Amino acid sequence: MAKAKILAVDDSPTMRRIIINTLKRAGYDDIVEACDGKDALAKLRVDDEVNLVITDWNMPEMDGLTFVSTLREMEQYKDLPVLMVTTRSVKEDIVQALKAGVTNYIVKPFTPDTLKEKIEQVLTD
Amino acid sequence: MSTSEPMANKVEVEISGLADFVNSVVEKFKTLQKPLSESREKVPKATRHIDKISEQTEAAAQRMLDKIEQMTMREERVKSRAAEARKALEAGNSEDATAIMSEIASMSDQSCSDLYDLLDALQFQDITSQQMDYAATMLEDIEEKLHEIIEVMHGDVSSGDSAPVKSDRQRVFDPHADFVEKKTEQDEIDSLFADRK
Repeated sequence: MAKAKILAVDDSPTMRRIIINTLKRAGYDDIVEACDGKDALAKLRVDDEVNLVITDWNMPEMDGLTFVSTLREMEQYKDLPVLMVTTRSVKEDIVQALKAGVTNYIVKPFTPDTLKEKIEQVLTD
Repeated sequence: MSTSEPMANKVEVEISGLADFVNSVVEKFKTLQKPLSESREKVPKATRHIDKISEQTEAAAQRMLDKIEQMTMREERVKSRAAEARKALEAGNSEDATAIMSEIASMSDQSCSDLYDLLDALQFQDITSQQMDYAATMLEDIEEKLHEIIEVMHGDVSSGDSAPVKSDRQRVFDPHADFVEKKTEQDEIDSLFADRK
């Protein structure tokens, strides 16, 4: 069975490389990158076969929360699994993300095992 | 009419003018209170934050150096064992050679794992970048407040040279970003999301 196609969204090029490297180690080779929410929406318009989005929160142009809320208003993406990977660890923020429609949530710095586990969870749920 | 009346009127006018001037100076000083107070709070906060950045980059660098030292020591052992494997093969002792090669393969796996740990440790760059943006924002705010104070003290300061210059880059950051401390652990996050289902 083909592994999922993943859209990785983060304004930090270093963090995108780390996430992509971690995904490749976990066997996910089909990866698209975006530098913020606006770029991510543009990438989804061109490629709608993405199975999972991994997104940061604090990004310029369009932050992760606004991006997720926008996705959930779009019929074709209302059920697209979204994993938020962010430094924000305050409970109120996590609840806000949950209400915006995030499927699961990891606080940076993350371990590769945690990222792999959460990806598998959101893809099988 | 006595000659002292016009003099008294003149003095009254002067004193009234002086009183108005003193009142305006007092008002100006009152307007300085808020920006001064805010600057006074923000300077130590920015300093503490910069210290925190320094500590966390130091901690991340130490972690990476520990890994590098472990890998370097392991490489020495790999070289030594590889030489022993070669001797064993040359002496026709394939059993020993095989055992040594297994050990080398295991050490190689460990080094690979250490390299991935190094890669993961580089996450500190994203976190400290946010911390620095937070500190920079505080310093920009302080600069603005100081400019307000200068404007009040000197009257109209319309010169573009003295106006604070903000960075063009849009600063986006989590003010609580931290490489070490997490306010909510993964278990609790998982519970929040599990309760949602």
